[in-house]
Amino acid sequence: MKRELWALTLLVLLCAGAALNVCTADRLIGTVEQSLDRAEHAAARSDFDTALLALNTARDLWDGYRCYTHIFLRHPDLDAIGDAFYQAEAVLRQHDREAFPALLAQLRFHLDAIDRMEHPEPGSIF
Amino acid sequence: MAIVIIRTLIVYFALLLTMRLMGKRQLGEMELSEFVTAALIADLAAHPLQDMGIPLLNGLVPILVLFCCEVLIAGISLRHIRLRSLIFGKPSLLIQQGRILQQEMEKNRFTPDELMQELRSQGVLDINSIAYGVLETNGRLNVILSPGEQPATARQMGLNPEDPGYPSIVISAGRVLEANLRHLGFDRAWLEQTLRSHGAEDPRRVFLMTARPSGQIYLALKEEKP
Repeated sequence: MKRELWALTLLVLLCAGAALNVCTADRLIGTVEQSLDRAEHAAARSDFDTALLALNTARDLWDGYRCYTHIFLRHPDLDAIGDAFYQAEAVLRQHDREAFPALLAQLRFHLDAIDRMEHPEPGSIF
Repeated sequence: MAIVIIRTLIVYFALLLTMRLMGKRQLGEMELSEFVTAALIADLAAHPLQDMGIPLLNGLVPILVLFCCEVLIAGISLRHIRLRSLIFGKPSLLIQQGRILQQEMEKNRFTPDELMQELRSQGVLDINSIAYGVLETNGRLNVILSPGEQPATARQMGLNPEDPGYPSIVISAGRVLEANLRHLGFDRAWLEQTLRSHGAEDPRRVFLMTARPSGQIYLALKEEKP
């Protein structure tokens, strides 16, 4: 009986850890996307310095969770997000207002994909 | 992580159901849930090792989930007989008093060739000599011979043989196992004397030596290399 109780406790702990993981991913991606929104609005006003600052804030936020992301997320997904950040920054430095929204959309797509992947929904399970 | 847990649970129970429907023959020596866990764990453990892009946690979490499922199912089935027969199935009687129960054979997808193969592997050649042939839940066929075909026991013959005791390994590949020697109640002097009497002065020349508390030994010397 003791062994079964340990197994049940472990299963409950794993489920609790999974729920915590969903919350952490939601919070992180939500905060990063808020900064990306600020960058998009600033770039639309041709305020490239503010846009660059907001983009760097978003990347710093993302990098601040490096330990978490490397433990829980697939490394090819992390590489895709890193590349998208660098491409968006390069475009901002060239003051290219046209290309920036497309790259930002690509970055958001990768972030949303990770967020969706962590949510227990039929689409992600099957 | 949540997806990994849910997927593992779905695949585990799907495999359990599939293997249950496939019948006992596929199982070999394991119980159904053990077989499913073993089949999944081997593959799960390999993936994060082969692909560095997959976090180790994606391999570890399913293994822990499977471990929990296996322990819980084994524990629950120990207490609930109905659930046990639902998950693991019931033993099937394939032979009764020398007669093959063909419906049961068909139900368990057991062909006559496979039946004969199983019987031969147990040294039984005549189906008439079998009282009961039971296909256990782990896929093993157990054969109980008719009373007239069973080997006579010492009691049936009116004999009362002494128990010579359990044989323990004393020398393994030239190495003396002192703990076993002490446990048997012997010492080095006894060992050296016994070896000398069998023409082996040095324990390093012995491949295997076992002894019983009664002093009965088995000794095999190392073969000379050509």
